[in-house]
Amino acid sequence: MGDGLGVDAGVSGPAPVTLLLGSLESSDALTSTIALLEWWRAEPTAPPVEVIALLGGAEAERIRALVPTTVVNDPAAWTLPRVAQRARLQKVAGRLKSAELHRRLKVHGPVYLADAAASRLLHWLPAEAGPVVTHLHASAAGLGDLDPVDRDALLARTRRWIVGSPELADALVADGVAAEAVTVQPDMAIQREIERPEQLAELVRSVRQELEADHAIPVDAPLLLGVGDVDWWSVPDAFVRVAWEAFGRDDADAVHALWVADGATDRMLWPLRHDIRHAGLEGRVHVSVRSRPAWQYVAAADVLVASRLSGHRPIGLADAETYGTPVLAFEGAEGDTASTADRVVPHLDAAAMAEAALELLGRERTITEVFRTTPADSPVRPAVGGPMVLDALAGSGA
Amino acid sequence: MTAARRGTTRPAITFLGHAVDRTGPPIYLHHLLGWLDRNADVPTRLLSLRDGGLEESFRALTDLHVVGEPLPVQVRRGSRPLTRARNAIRAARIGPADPGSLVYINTSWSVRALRYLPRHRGPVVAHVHELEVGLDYDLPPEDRAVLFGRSTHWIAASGAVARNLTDRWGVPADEIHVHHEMIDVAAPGRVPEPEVAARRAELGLGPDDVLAGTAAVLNWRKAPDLFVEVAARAIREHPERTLHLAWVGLDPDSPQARHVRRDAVRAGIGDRLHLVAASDRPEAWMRAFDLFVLPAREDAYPLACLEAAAAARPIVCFDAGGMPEFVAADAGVVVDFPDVGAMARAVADIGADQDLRRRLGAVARARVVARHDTSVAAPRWWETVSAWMPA
Repeated sequence: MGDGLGVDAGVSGPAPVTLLLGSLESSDALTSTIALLEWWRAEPTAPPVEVIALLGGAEAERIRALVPTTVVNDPAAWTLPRVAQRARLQKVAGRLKSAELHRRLKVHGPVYLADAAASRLLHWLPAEAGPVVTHLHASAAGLGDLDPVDRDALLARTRRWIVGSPELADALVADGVAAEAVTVQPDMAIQREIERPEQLAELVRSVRQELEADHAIPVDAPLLLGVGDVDWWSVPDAFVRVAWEAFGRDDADAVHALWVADGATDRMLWPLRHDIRHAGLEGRVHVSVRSRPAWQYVAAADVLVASRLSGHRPIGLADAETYGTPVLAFEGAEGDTASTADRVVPHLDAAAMAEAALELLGRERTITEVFRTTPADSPVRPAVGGPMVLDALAGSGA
Repeated sequence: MTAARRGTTRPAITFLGHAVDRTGPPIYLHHLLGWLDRNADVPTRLLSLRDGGLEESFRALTDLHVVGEPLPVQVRRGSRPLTRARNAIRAARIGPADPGSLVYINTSWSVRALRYLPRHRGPVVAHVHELEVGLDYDLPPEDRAVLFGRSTHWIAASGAVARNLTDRWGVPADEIHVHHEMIDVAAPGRVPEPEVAARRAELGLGPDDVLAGTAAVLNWRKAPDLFVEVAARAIREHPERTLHLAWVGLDPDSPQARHVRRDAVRAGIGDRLHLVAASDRPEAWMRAFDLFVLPAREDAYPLACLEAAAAARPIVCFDAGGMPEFVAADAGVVVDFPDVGAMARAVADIGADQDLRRRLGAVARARVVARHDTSVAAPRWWETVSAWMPA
């Protein structure tokens, strides 16, 4: 694990890049960043890169395997600020924390901020560090959720912007950002090994057999899926409500619902299990701390229920598009959730979502085969999108 | 009588509380201490883990020590001596429990204060106000072990709490005494009419508008997500009715409140769902409501419902927790959890029918007067607890 940059800015070669992230929890935006890092690591001309993340998450190990990674707020680590905090020495803890952040963020080279939530770290970034390139992915919520101070810091420090959609670009220009400082670039995708229908069929069979063995979900039962590392105390999700509404209908006797909790702890899942038990849905609504990558469950499900009420965009939407899994979402959901969904229902209308889910069951599936249909020069491919990011980092400093 | 201070040789009660704020269990304890102060010759003191807005009021009733959270002794290997020393210094400041005293844990979280009474060997009463969230999720295992290991007598805040203690934790049913919460039922009647009108005017309501309200802090257990869904469904299905909903008792600038507000706006009811800061006059809001909605996933026996009943307001709740014991079939409507559609229908139907509201509200009022006024409930509680006092 890295500890601070650990890269000597004085050595020859391209300036090292500091990549700032808000959290290492799974998200489509982080998937795009991981796709970039996989390319980055294999690219001999790319500068060294190190990740500094505010919070850890389910993808921490995966990212650490690619690049040196430091998690600033690691609840498992015993640091001086945490000891002070436990001793109820709040002021001391605050000062120690601030000093530690200054030390860790003592960087000199370009800064690539790939998650708006990392803007909190900018307050400790030395003035001479940078230039800062900020990447707002199509699947992220933009700047709307940021604290005003963090948002102001982000707008003040960012030299160039990479955004995943024209809407995000418009929003930035409306915030006073010069249009020429903004580049629209679609999120990058990780290449899967599934490209033909028979490969998908084999994968689905394998996943469903595993679900039957682990959860007694019959292999041919229609399956509604929710995916995420949700902390149900802070991020409300209507998944149980949707399941309850669906299972109350006459045509849903054989249907099951599965929440794939992306590396979540039992404590994080406690509220979900509480609701399942009290709603009388045990045996119909299942929770799995995934043993496979989330995209495989998405490929094997009949409908992806994007039922999160607020917070980050649900994960799995890009995979659902790839493997032809229909997606349900609430109107006005985060990022581009609603626009990528097959069906949207009025916000919080769990009954309408349940009805739509049952209608979508049994729909013919097709693989979009994103890598065969995507042009070779599409920036969705990290081999194309990656150099564009590096150009922004190099060009912004010129 | 005034509260006796430390050093008495008569049997005394040392209450342990988690805070002296305006949440349910501290308010319950405040009612109890007030009644004891007026009616029983028993010295009392209170060790509260945190301070709160009722601190001065508690000091007038008992020997209050705001002791702070004890450090857990198993924080980290090697830290035990220091941690024990810190806890011991605090315990010494508090003073020992009287040899003949009874320790009364009011809320399971308060069991943590028992660490400040390491030499207490007398009876320990656990008054449990919590269901699964409080006992399974919130309470650390080491504190749960102390609660179930040290308690010699059990009081449950509702039948639901008693069942949970028996079914999930193995406390014998015949050892649990159910004592429901208590309130001052006259409080809403003392609110002047202009104050009630001012509350409704704050929300921009006219005389024909119907206000369905709830009062609670904002967290997952209290289910603001279900509340917004109930509101959206009731309003969408009856757009012709001027139904408004209000959540009273939150911090309007908190992230949770922002989420609720955003959900309401996205659901198209931003102008009909009102978020109101915590009030030191909840009884005024109960009068301003036309009916009370309890969307909680679980709630042992919320005081807010009793306060609404004292204002003759009907209650709509899920069949979850203890409130169905009060509402039954005639003081409001109980719907299955999580049947939001049924709750929305009940809210809309009761809201639209003034006679029904009056009928259900009258039953609620009569029931709360008969069972839950401090003058009725406290003597019953004392009859139970005084039998446990050391000779």
